[in-house]
Amino acid sequence: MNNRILDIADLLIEQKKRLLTAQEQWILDQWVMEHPENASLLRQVQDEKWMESQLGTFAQYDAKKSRQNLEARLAATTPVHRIHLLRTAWFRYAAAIILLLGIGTYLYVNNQKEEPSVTQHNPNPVQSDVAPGGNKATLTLADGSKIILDSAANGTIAKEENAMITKRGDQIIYDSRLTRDASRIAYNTMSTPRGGQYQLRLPDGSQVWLNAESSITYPTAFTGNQRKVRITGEAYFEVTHDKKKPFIVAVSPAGGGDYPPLEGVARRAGGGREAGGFEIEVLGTHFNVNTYQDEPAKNTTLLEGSVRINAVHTSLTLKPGQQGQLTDRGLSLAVNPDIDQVMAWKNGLFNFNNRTFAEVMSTLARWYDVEVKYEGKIPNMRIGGEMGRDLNLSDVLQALKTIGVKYEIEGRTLKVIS
Amino acid sequence: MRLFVPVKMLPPSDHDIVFLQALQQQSPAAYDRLYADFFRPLCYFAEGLVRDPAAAEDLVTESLIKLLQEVPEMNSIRQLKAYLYTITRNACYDFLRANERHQQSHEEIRYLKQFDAETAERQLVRAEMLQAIYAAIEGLPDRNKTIVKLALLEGKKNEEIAAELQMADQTVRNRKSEGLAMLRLTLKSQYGLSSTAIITGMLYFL
Repeated sequence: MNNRILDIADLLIEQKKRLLTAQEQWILDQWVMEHPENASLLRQVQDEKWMESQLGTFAQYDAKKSRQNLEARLAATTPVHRIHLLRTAWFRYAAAIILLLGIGTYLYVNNQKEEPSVTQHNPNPVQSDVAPGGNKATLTLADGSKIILDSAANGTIAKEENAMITKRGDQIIYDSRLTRDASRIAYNTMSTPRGGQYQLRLPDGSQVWLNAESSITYPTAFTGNQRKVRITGEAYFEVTHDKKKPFIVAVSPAGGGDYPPLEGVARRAGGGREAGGFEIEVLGTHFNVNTYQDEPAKNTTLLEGSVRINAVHTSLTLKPGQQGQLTDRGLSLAVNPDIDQVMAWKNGLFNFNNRTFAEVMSTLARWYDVEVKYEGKIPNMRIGGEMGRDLNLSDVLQALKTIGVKYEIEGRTLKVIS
Repeated sequence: MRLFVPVKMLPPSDHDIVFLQALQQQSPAAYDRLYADFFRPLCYFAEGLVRDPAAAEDLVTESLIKLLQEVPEMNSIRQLKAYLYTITRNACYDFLRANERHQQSHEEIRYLKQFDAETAERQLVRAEMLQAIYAAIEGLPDRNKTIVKLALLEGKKNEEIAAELQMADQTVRNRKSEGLAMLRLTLKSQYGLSSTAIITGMLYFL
């Protein structure tokens, strides 16, 4: 259902309590003007007599009967077991994910074959363990100096020409005093290592979440007629509204190439949109961009608002719930994107939906900051499931073990033996 | 040209988070609130579309069952609400389609009109408005609640109420107007909105 109509309903309710602000009234008026039926609906809900006439019906629905039916039905059917391992340590020991093998066959978790193993490896489970990723990032200031954010104390950590930079927990906040002098604009970069993640509030109040092995370069103050930032890796944005200054996210092309310039007009020759590079023009609010090189496509997923993806010779406007995919073959709309899967990282989870073994390993490698070495073939299977990403690596692997693959952790190397 | 309004919401309250988590776990503790906040507006919504109160109740019961059998990830009441209205609306579509076939096979003349997206949206607005008032009534202090309910929901006159509750006419009148005044003052949106929350957006034409 269109979220907008929920807003309209809320405004109409608010109107009964108090005077709406000019802006709220404007929103309501626009909606009323769109259709004569809207206007008569407005009159209807403002009519106390009408409301009273409907309340009788409203009260007569038999909630008790419905609830009895519901409880009976739910008791009868076995619930679909969604295994969530959320942030609590309690779940650490209940690690299990649902595995999908090959083409439509299912393997139950307790169906393990004992292999008379000829390997010389110690049948013991992993001897060392790897802690999950955490809030780690490095901030590079305009003059090149770097601040390691994990160990920095809360409070003001730096002052740039026209901004004060404060650390608050796992977030960096920019408080900029606008200056008209564009030549004094400084660029900072926040980057996360493998095993890191961080949050940033940009000078305009927009929030950015950075996943592991990612970076964002941005000016310390948004002067000029647009707000442009550049990213690598994966980031989730909640952009504040400013119609006069569109928010643009630039992504560099693979394998280097010219970085799209952050100053100046966005549409120069090529405009930084060389093959693989692209820009996202933000007209609305919440979206996720995944540009990891080792993923099959560069995906932009929109949750709320509106964005336009501009790539070489082509562009695509997204509506909420849609995902644009950029590959060598071009820019296309994904069929039925799994929003939960896309947003899992930001919510502290892994969410795999029919992904290849190699893709899962690569995601784990990036978060745990390990290198994966395969001894034997890369298992040909697909994996699905969800779990918290605050688990130790051994717990995660515990679940993956049931399909006949063995693992060994040695320092920062993960050996996959199949 | 369709006007698009981005709206920024307050983050969900602790109550909401606890409720959503309880739903995820299919915990009966969540059912009270699920029914209190959603059952009636959804029924009213569905009845407006299928024109059959019994069918509407069944369709909504099915929607709630569906929700609880496989709870999607939700971060806010707003998401939950959007989801419930959507699956209920779809259930109404299916119901009308199924009935159309039935009607045709029995050669009945009655024509069940399908509804369009905007009609459904308008019905949602009515349902939400009524729920806001209904919830406000439920939230009244006991001394006013019974009287106001008898007056507004059952349409009883003051004398009838006085007789039923064995009170003086004047008492009924006083408590009723007290209750109605409270309704006007305390009609709370259940979605944790405040005026500042709605208005961080600017408006775009798509």
